[in-house]
Amino acid sequence: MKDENSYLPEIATVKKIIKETPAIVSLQLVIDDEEKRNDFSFEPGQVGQLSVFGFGESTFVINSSPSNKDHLQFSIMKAGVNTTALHNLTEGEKVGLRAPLGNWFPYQKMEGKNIIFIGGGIGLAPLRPLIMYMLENKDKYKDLTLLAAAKTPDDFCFATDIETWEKSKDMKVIMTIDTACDMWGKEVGLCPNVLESMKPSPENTIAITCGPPIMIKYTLEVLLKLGFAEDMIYTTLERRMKCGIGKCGRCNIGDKFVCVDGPVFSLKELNQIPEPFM
Amino acid sequence: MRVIEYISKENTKNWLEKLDAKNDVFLPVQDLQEARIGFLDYKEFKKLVQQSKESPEKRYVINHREKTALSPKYIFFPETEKLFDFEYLKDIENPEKVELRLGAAEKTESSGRIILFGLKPCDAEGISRLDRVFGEGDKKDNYYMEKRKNSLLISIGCNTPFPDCFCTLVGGSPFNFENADIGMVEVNDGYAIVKISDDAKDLISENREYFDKDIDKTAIEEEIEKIIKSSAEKIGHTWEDLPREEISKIMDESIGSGIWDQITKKCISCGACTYVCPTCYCFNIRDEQKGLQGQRYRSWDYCMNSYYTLEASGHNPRPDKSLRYRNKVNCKYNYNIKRHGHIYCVGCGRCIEVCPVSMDIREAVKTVIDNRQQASD
Amino acid sequence: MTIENKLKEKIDEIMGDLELLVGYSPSALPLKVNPAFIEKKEETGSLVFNKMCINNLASYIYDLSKSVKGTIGIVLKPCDTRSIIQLASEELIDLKKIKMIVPGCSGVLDYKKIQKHVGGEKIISCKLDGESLAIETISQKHELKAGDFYADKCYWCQVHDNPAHFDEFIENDQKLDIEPREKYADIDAIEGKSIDEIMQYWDEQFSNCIRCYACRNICPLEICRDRCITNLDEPYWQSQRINTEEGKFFQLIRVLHLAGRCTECGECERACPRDIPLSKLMKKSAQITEKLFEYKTGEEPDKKPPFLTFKDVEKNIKEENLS
Repeated sequence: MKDENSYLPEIATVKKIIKETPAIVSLQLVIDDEEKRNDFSFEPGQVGQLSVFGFGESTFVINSSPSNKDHLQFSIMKAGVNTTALHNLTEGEKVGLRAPLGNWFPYQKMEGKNIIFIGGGIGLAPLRPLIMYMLENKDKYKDLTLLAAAKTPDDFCFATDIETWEKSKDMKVIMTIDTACDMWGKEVGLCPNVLESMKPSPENTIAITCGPPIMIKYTLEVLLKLGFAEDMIYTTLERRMKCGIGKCGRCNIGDKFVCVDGPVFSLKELNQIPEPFM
Repeated sequence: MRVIEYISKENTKNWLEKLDAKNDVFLPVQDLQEARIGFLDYKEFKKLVQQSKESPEKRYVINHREKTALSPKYIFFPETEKLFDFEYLKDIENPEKVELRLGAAEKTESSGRIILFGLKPCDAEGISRLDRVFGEGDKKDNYYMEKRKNSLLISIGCNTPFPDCFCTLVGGSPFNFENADIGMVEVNDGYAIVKISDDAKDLISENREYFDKDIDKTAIEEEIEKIIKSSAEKIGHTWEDLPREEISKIMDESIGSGIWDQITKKCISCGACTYVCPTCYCFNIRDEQKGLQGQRYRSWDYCMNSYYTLEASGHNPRPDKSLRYRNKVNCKYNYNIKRHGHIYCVGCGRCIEVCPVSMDIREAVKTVIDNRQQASD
Repeated sequence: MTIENKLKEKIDEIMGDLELLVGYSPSALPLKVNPAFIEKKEETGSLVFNKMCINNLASYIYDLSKSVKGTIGIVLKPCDTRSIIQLASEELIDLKKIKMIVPGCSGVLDYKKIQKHVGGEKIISCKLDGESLAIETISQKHELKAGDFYADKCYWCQVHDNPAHFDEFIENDQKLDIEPREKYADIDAIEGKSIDEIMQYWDEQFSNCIRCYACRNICPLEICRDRCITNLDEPYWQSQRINTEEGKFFQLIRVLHLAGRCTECGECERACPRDIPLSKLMKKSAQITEKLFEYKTGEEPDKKPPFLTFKDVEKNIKEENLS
């Protein structure tokens, strides 16, 4: 639309709040305006700018399945002013939403390949919509594997989803925590180390990794060591954002804006940017 | 340079007066008492002249030869601009129900246009750089474009460039009227009009009484050639002329080298250079609320500040001033060449003038270029 | 020998003991000099010391003292040594790690004053020959008397050839030779006006403030630099709007933050790209704190600034009857 004001958010209502972990909360939102709600669509990996008016605006990935027309889900880790305000919301309250923004996972290019997802903590959020899409279209993809990492057993985001995925035959799920503790019968170890011990084959496989910067750094090193090609590795990056539409100049990494040219980047793309992306 | 019209200095004043009746004219005004030079609304200028106690010509003069302290970008991209209002509405009958109302900024319905008179060609270039950023892509910046689409730029060439001008090194020139609607050259106690865009045709055609009839175009054109030649001799050449893509490549290669630490040693990380620059466009967005009402606004920001990229988690991709200055110079001489095909520096020299510690972007670019030559030798 | 050569000779002598030397080097821009950071003896040849050296190099000393392990040599005008002493009195720097190299000063020119004299026009060239200053703008040539355009602080300077604190002092054959002026004359002129007039004056000045923070970042005492609360989103202390009210608010915070600490070097006013007369505010604050607390900043490294100490009963503050 020509007269569209890209800075003016849509008003959305908080339909449901899910407490994922002590620090992470998922909000399920419904856009108030009926027409906009019905017209809304997004691709897996795209983000939205959520604001509690009076506090600020921050970027979160839309982590519900793109085929879900009931609500849009965002998962928020408490860190600053806006995220704290989002954590304090109750059902029925209103927020501002500007979405969808940014680019998305090139899922069509990934057809016919094995996919390995590596997510740490809140890093599972960008992976979730893609996993759900791929599970809904399983026939287009080969083997799906998920390596989910968290600090402690209580820190797994989307615990119910992971359980469902584990039970289904369509995806192999490996969960790992940082340090051993009682009642945990699964893997123990830092994500990059567990990945290395898994020795996934790079043959016809795409690796997608999301999580805190330090985890991504070491995971990328391990993937390259295992023989994955640069253009078969994808990640999502984060930078402080304000306008979200490539105008304010803040979120640049080299000549790329994370809000417009990202947040999804292949490692090949990132290595072409002279400014270090970490 | 082909002369189309000619207007005397006296008639220019009358022409501007007539234009201001139905439009909003801005022009560069020098306040001789406070020693300030800046763009001022013509109506404001007239009011000041009326109010000034001594003879008005002694205090306020129109001066397009000097550089204004701030570039005119604030006319389209103000320092602070409201994006929208918001209001929480409570229902007295139902205290649990809180509605939210957003009020978009009202569109000012004015039939007049914004006319910037007396722009230097570098400033007109600067505005065209901002046009690309705010006007391109499928998401446009309406706030800027609304003001800009009904505006005209009248540019006057620089007969005497300054020692810190370097527009020719970044793809411009003292008589570059590519991005102006009307281009003028100061010659023979008046102005020769050498360019009129389609949008600006009526400024001349509906005000014919001010423009000279029967002008000796050939003679004026000869004078202009002399002026252009003498002007070109005054502009310095800090680094050898290189094509933009070459400069971009050299900048790419410099990232990671210690040369930036050396260049940035004396920088104090303030925002002076950013705020006077015609092509810097970074801004911050903030919400402010009092009671149930509030506003979201945007304001100028500067990338040299250490909080610029500070994330809520505490991680900061650019903690050192050398990384931030490297980003600034690369943004102008590298990244924006890749994104928009132009160097985002117009060679006006304001940053050099205003810097408290004399950081010189020409020196920075030259050092990077020289460093690369050395590395390859 | 000129003061510049004597200075370079002294620096060459002691360069071996220094990890870094901060001095002045020439600038291509008229009436300006560059801060120079020298690590090797071979580079000392580029150093200068002349009437253009208005910059207070003490602006860099706090950050450098954090990153440089060895001794830092710093060229300081006698007036600028006050900033170092004040930082030392607040225990922000270790004087043992700093070598103050102080040349006797015959005054420095204030390029902003010259620019104001020519109506704000750009100075494209300048030639200083003894007392005559030849200035060129694109419209005119001016022949000025250098003695009228020294920095304000030169006119009431008492320390130009006898600094109280230094590690090396270099005698300057050329002495400061200008008509002394009353230090607080410009403050008193404003004080004589009505409150409305004063507010109008400052509103007009602050309508130009663009919140660039050059004043804060160049101040040798404002080591907070970029960790300042006024340009943070969290905690939200000050609006990010750029207008008269917010500019005034920021500046008043600054004045209070520097009360009893400012060493009146005038750098804030020099750095301001909008030519706001900030040093007037600082001088007013100094006038008050000197009287109230009998404390002059930057005099003794052992004398603690008034706002960093606590006294049950202040000598010059007559409190209400407390029964």
